[in-house]
Amino acid sequence: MNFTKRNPIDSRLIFLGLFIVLVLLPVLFPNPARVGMFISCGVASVLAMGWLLILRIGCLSLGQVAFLAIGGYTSAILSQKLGISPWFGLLFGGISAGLIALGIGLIFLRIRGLYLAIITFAFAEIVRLVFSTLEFFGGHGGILEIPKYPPISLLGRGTVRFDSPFSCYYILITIVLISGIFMWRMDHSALGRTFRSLPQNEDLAESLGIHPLRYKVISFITACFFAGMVGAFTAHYYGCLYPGSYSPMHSVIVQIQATVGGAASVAFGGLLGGFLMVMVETFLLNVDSRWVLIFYGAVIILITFVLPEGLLSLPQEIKKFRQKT
Amino acid sequence: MTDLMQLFLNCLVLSANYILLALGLTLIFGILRALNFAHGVLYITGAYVVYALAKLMGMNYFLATFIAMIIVGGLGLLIEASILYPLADRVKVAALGAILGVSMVLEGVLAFIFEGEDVTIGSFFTGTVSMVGATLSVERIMVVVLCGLIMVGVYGWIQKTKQGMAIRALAENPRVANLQGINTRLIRFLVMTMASVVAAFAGAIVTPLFYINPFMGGHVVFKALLIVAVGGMGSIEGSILAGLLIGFVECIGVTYLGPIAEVISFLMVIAIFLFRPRGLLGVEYEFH
Repeated sequence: MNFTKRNPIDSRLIFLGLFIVLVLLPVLFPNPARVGMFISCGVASVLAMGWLLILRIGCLSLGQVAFLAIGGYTSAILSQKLGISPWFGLLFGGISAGLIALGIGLIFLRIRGLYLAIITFAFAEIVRLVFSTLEFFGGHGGILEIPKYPPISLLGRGTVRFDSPFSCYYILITIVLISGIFMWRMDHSALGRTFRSLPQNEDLAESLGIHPLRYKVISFITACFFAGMVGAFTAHYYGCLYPGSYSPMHSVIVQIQATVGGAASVAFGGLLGGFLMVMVETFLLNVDSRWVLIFYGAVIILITFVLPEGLLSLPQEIKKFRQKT
Repeated sequence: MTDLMQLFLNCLVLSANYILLALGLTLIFGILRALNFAHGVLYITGAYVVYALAKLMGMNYFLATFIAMIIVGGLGLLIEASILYPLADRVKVAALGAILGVSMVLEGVLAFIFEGEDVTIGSFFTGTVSMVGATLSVERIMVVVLCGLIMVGVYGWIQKTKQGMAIRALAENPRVANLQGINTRLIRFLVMTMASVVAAFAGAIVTPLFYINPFMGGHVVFKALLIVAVGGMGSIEGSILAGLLIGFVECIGVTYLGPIAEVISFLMVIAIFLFRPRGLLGVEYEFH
């Protein structure tokens, strides 16, 4: 672990490069199906970043998909029943996920170790069951005909319409960048160092005046807020929600994507894992959906044995390997 | 009366199913200190082996069950030898990720072999029997009896034999157990194999009652893990107690309230965690 090693210029350059690549992606691949794939990649990377941020505090969450669902359903219902604009829905989706994260975080985050993995898994299942059984949330059929993003008028210079994957991609990329920069700043601040102290020795941290639960809840809420926000984004982007798409298996996939990216950096690990894995997944889905399961399973086993710190540690590992030989 | 007795029997079948899985999981947790997410897929593998041998090839049902137990036991041994043992000294996330991967790969392989559709094995015991003024199906009674026998067998093995004593010692304190000359590695292999065999048995014996498909392993293991956690990780008595509790609450709830009852059973589980964070009969384990 590199506690004090900070190299802001490097990271800023990488950020700039990533920013340009992300903005140019749909221009380079102007095929709507490809852009749809990049949107799935972005959604996955926000979830993976959140998972890594929760891992920073030494907690294992297997329930990130629940917050995706909460954000999506909140925004969908607000826009359908109360007529609230999807633009505000994005915010409300995040806020509702954050509030629920605050509530359950205060209860769950006291639990240590593998118990937490089970209980978050159970929470995700409860959320899915509530959405799929209560009529208010549309039951098994889910919610259909969710309003799309309304056009924005540019004060007499025409309007920007959001009816194609291309324009929606830029909404998502904005969310991805905001959450990425936010979590990166969080990770590389005093707050981030406090987070890292918790898994190492929580009792020692407590004796130094750190309130473990407070910091755990901060990290948990941040991760869940952004998960809820992308959840709201997907609801309006696809225009429909099915409870079946929020199965707990999805949370496992989030963990695999995040692990593949690597915990060395919250933002970069999440982005790398999310984009890489979903691209391969999309390719495999076209061949046979059963390969996806085998692919994810094989990749996580391989990465656990060969590259336990994820792909981000690949350059260091290569350097180490060279020094040895 | 008949309704009530049938409900009671159905609850017992569900509980027995859960308990058999939870027993294996809690043993694995106590000795291997890992959450065996692959347990559900081992259970389904057992069911599919019986389906392939008994239904598709026409083999005797009991012989098929026996073969399923051997195959799945071997599979469990393979998982322990290749995944869990090498990762034993690493952080918990590593073993958790790898075992999730194993379960996904096995699920994918099953889906390739048997296609993704629901299949049923079909009944092997038919007829009904009248007991205390109620008409009950022989098959369900047989399931409960057989599961009970296995349960007693495993419990006796843990409580009465020398190996069982070694297992309990190892669960309590691995370092001291090592000092007494207990072969940790052998016990690990033994526990994993035993748990897999019991899971295969549960899959083989209960699936004639339900439909099976390759993807239901996740849901099954998740329920079993919840039971293990509620009972207290590593506690055998706790698992039996929690299995009965959750089985009955869920079965009665679904009968009278419909699918929303599952939410109630989850809320109950969370309430138990609030007051007893280590489960009903749990002891504290050290994690690293």
